[in-house]
Amino acid sequence: MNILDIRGLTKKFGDFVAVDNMSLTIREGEIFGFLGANGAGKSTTINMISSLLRPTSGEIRILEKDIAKQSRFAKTNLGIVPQDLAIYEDMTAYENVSFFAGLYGLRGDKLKERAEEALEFVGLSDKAKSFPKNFSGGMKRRLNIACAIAHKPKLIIMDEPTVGIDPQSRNYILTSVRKLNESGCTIIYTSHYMEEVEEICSRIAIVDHGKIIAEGTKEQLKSTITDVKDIRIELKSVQGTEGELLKPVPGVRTVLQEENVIRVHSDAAVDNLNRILKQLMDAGKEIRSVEEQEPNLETVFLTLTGRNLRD
Amino acid sequence: MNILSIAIKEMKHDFRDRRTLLFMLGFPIVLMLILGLALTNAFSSEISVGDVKVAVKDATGGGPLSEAFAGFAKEVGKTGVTFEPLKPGANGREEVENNHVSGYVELTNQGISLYGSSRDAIESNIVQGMLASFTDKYNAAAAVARIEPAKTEMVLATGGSDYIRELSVDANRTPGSVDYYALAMTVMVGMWAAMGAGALIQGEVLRGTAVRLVIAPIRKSEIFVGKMLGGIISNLLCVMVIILFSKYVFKAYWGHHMGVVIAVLVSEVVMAMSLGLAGSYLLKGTASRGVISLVVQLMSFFGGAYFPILDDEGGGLMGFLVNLSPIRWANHGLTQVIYADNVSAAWPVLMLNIGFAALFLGVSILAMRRREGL
Amino acid sequence: MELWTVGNKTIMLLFVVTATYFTAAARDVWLVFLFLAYLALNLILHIVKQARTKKAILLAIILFLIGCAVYHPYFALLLPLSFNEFASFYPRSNGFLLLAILAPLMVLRDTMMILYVFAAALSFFNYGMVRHYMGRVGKQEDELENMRGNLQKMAKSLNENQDFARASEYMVKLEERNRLTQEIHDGIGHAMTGALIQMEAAKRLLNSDPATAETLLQNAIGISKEAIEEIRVTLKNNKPPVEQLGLSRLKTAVEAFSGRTGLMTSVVHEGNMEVITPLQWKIIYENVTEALTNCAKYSGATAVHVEIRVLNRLIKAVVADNGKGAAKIVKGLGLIGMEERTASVGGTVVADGTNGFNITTLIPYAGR
Repeated sequence: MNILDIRGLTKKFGDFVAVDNMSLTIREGEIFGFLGANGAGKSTTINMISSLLRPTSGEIRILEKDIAKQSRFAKTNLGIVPQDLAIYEDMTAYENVSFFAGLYGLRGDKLKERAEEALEFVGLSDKAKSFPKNFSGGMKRRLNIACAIAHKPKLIIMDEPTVGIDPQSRNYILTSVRKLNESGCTIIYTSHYMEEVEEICSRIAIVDHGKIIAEGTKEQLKSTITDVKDIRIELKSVQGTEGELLKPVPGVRTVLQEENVIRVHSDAAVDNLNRILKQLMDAGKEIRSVEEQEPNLETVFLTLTGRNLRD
Repeated sequence: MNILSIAIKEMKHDFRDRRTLLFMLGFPIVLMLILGLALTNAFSSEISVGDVKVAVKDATGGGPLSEAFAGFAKEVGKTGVTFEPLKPGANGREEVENNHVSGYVELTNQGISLYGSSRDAIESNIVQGMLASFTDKYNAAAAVARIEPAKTEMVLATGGSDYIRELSVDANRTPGSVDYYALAMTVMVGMWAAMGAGALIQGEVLRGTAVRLVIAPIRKSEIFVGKMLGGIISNLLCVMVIILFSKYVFKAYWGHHMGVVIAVLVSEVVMAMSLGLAGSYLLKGTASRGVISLVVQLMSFFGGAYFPILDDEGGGLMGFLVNLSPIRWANHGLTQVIYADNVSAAWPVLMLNIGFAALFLGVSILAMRRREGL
Repeated sequence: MELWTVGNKTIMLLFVVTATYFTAAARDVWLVFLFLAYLALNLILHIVKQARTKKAILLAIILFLIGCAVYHPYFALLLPLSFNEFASFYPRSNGFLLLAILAPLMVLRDTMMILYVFAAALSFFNYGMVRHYMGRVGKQEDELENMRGNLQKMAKSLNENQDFARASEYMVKLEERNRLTQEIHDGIGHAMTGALIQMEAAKRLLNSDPATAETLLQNAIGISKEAIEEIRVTLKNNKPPVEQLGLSRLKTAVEAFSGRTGLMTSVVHEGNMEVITPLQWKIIYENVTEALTNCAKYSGATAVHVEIRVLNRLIKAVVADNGKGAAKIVKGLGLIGMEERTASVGGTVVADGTNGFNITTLIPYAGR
């Protein structure tokens, strides 16, 4: 089932088009990455999905129901981790979570149980009675997540959840995202940290100037640019027979030789580095260094838009 | 249910914010104390009435009324009110008009007529009050006389001290300085609800939590009502604390109609909240908070929260401004309720407050509807 | 606007007349005179054309009204109208206007004050709205005028373009036909004639000298073979490859643009151009020329760079200039046209103004 369906979504602020005729489908169970520079239209799109903004035109469906018409249904199935912290500093962690979960109709014991579960999930059980003003940045971010998941939404949108926190909390959050996904949540994840998106997302859309300019798994995205990877192997000495040696390895296309470095162009989709190296070592070659240049999302973004993601 | 949990959350914010709470409670109490003590002399409750001279013309030609009145005059004479027979040839009303005497009483067989002077309003009031109680007594005595003539004397004889007691109560029923400031500060704190209300919605936006409230499956009206309710209750609690503190610690006089007083204060708080809310919607951004607190301070000033502004200053720009202040309405109405036992004076204030509250709420709701987000 | 102010003024004047003259116990001849004088001054105001004279008369009216107001306070009610009219010459000074309008409040008393406040508020609001709408109408008329001009220009250039295209197409065809005729005549024609002669000779010698005849026939066969080969070559030479057609057409257009505008241009291509279909070339060509036109019009750039890259699954065409760019891009007709064209083959157009102006066309292709 499609958990999110966007058709022709447009948002204008005066003359400025922030989101431009965007169409997108997200299936249940995905971790969907939204990649784009600041001001590309990611947050505007998310704000429209979460009904903070009204679309100028277009349609959004959550679980195949139009959110404009059945907003209660859509909202109940949606959890949002906003980019800016959205917690009350003068209420304890538990009070925060249970207040927000209470707005989703949870009451009494069930509310208590869910709130504790959510705090447990983000690892703040022992801080349930503390006030967030004494929390570190990472802990606040985790509480921010707990507030969004206590009502067990089917779709969770995380807008830059790792901005400005220490690597430890960051890893914790990334692990939680995976755990949430394994427990059956669909997740939309926006970030301008390329590595994070590449690491956890099953499908990615690259957004620029309010449009989706490319969409697919990370392999598909990379293959829009090229499906060749460049492997540079430095040997102690080169005889000139290496080309013949490596030709039979699956995926290898061409082998070039520059002094004592051989450059292998190979299918990016085929994971053959080990076989290439084995082939060379079996022939008694002495390997000095290996460098594999695979296109990553950063290069995809750069090639498609001509700009760096973090300008 | 959502409304209730939002209201409770709102109250948690209010009561955990120690600084604001201290300000809401401490400032008015300290001010009450300082101003109440410093400005004692500015209040007229200590004015000595002096001797009150009343001319009497006895046209009954003797009889029980005449006798009883003589007894009453003698008794009352001890408190400084002297009844003198009208000089022959003099016209009692002219004497009053020329301010030779404070009042003129004519005893006839039909009853007693009193001509008071509007110049000495206090004196006339005193005389009128005493005469009213005298006639009550006399009528009672007359009724007794018809049935059991022997007990007439007894009824009239016990009268003496009664007149004086009533007199002394009357004299106390203009507010002293502590009384005045207890009322003025309470009304002012009620109006301060506007400042909190200004931050009601904007606070959520600033904290970023407005997002969570809007995305939750609840109606905007629930958020709105819940927040209002929480704010109203917190502010009312503050107001109640100040009332109780002034009543029991400063011994301020709050009259016999506490229920009515509180009803007026509730309406004032509701109105103030709506004002603050409308302000925060109409004047976007953080500037609205400054504007609202400025307006509230002006209202406090013109409403007589810091020093009393005289009644009879109608007309002119000052009078116009003074009458614009809701604090003024409430002060005025409540003074009537507390010191004049005039409960009906509360109605116009209640109506005005509720009317303005409805107006401001309407404006806020319109503004809210048109806005995306909260 | 004119009618509106006159109407406003008339209603106000009638009110003042009713309130002063007809309700007074005694007929006051002076009042009649003052009213007439006021009317006269206003008539002059509407007759004169020069802005400066208008202002002078307005000032005179204001002074006159102040004088009259001393005689009878109701005249003050007419003041806000004149203040408003005066302010309409200075559209940006609403604050001063409000101050000026409210100034008489200092001297007015009681009922007059209240009346004045309402009269002033009403006229301030009225004029404000009228000014607002007049401004808007003016702007829209200007816009309409502009658009009309544009439409005309477009229609004209469209016509010209069509004519030119038709003419040049015809010319090219003629030239091409001419060249082909010449080629066939020069090459194949000569060869066939040679072969024919040889075969005629062979026919005559067939009985008398079969050996020579055979040689002649062999010659004719050789010539014919050559001729066939030549036909093949000619045909092959005359059928140009698609990619060359697209790219050279684009290059020519960019160079022509450079010549026309004096901007530095460069065209770079990378990847296998053969995968681009004629339809895709057409879209790329149109987008690029459109982007170049925009660049010349708005960017203030000195150089434009055109890049065509064939990636693994995408064709990317970029037009980038070094001009001032735009912080926020407002989509014009040109950009919308590009988007629509590109969307027809499943592609997107991204316009970016952060570092010069930069229009990227991305078109997916199926791959090998």
